[in-house]
Amino acid sequence: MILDAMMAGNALTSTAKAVVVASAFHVGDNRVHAPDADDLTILIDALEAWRHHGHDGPVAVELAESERPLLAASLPWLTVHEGADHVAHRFQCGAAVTARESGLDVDAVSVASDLRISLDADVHEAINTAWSTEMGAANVSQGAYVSGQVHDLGLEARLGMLAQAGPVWPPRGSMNDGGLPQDGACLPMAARVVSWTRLIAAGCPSEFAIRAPVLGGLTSMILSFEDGPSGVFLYADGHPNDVNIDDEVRLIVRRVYAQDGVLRYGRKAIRL
Amino acid sequence: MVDVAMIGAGQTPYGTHPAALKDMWADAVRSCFNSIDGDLAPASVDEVFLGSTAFGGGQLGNTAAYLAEHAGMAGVPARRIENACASSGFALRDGWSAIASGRADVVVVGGVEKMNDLTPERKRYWLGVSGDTEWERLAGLTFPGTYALMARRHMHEFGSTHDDLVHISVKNHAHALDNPDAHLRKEVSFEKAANGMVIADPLTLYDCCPTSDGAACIVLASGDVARRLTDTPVWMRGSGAASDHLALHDRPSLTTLAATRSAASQAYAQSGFSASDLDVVEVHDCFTVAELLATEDLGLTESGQGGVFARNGEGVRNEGRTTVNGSGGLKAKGHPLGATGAGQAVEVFKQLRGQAGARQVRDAEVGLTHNVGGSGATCAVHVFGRSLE
Repeated sequence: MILDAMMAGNALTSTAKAVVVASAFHVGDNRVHAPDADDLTILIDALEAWRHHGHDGPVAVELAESERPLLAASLPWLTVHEGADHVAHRFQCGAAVTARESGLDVDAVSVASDLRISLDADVHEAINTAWSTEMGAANVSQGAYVSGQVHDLGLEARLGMLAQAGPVWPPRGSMNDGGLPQDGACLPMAARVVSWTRLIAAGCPSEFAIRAPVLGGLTSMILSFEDGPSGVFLYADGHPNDVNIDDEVRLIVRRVYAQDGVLRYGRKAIRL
Repeated sequence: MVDVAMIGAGQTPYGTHPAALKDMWADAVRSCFNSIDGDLAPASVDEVFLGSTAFGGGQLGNTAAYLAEHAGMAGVPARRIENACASSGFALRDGWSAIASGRADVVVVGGVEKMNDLTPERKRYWLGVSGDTEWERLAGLTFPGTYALMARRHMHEFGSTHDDLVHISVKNHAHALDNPDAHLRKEVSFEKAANGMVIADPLTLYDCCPTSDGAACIVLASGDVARRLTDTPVWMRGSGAASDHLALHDRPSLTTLAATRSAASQAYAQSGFSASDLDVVEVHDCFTVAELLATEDLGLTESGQGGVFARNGEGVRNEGRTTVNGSGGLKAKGHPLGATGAGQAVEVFKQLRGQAGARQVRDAEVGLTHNVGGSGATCAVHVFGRSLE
């Protein structure tokens, strides 16, 4: 099965019974994850693609305990059910959502050669090493800090783009009238570039100091949503990131940084 | 309301200091009290208002008591005021308020920061702690990035160019050549500044201020006390302050700082002056684009025309109507975060008393300081005059 379309930075193919996505990144002929992607993010990509292609309903998904809150926050519309008619599969740097008896041969999945993004082997190794270092116990904040508790309280807003009524995003402690914030809807996963900058490694926040030199800096931007609120987002790592003001981008779940030995995920921008 | 005057002002040179925090502060206090014409001892002041971000965490708690003790003011009520880079601008406002309200007769206002004694790794963690940590910083933004977003948007909306920012950089470096207290006393050519290393596109190294060590101190007095101690008080004619959304993305516009506009409006109204009356202004140019925006927000030029203002050299000392950052500004004089606002007032004090030496602005009668916290979440603006008329 050759994946010959692109969506949200992944190669993809879609049929009436299945949506299959795989990383476009390759070291030689070996498919690898994008610099900020992993098995969880590509599973989320596959489920979002599945929905984008008109599918709905419960899905059977095998998840590690640590993945459950992240998947739930990212995909609030998803019902996970063991006996569902549709099943999510994970395979090497790819994921699929298929009908239960689809007969998908994951070993036969490959990405069309013209869609592949080539990654230097040394860079790939350096990125993986950087993530390991960032996860290490010695990587301790010395100034700015977001605790695990505060981070987790913002998961639904960060991953699912859940806004307060208004809409107001990111969430506030209280509304302008002093009242308790009321839940609003999730913002759309598409937004418009208001302004952008490309920071060299030395100009990046220290939380990104280990990976930024490997990536050659970071691209950060303010995005405006159709309903009004705006937010700051990074561009997805490793993808061509030449953007302009007023460009439309899509928001995808990716690793953002690691702290206290825990990977922290968020939405990043990528060209539509 | 009681009239308030600056009767003494002094600072350390800005730069990379061998001195410790307490020693820098003590130096600034000594310099300040030595500038007072009459006799006044530090221990006799009513209160101390000290701006500092406590960068590096060396003395996070009870910073003001620690520093008051080291400058001959043990026992005097003291507190640290923290509003990021606007800390001592707000300390100045609090000191002014204490006297204007009649609660105090003489107060010390100042600021201090020690930034260059940290390892590079630790320093980077402390830079940028004043933005929205959860939703800005951890989405990849530092202050160079934040101001780069403003610059790019201004260029998009109004057609300003990076060359306009280069003009600001070159001007402020040229001004600092005449300031013995400046951190970066070196001439920078247009070509060099235009081709600096990119830090956060479109901003280059020459668009960014340095991280500086330094301290600044001012003595404020009520009108009666001021007249007893000096014949040349510098009167605080207006004080304005405001806050705004912490994160840039929450603001309706990226090309104006609402806090600056609000604070300036208050200060102008109270003083009876307008932008056209200003001879010297010290604006918060942590990045060159910040000066460009400040010239618009303070009313020195129209909205969207900051680039033209810079291009035409209207802020050049003794050339334009108003000298902008005659000290060199944060860009070249330096930016010891918590000391910056007080340092701006020290410069205006010297300018309005005709004591600025080679950088003296001719016939300086009215001055203004503009001190911004972070990317504009806080701002204090003060207007000063040689007279109360």
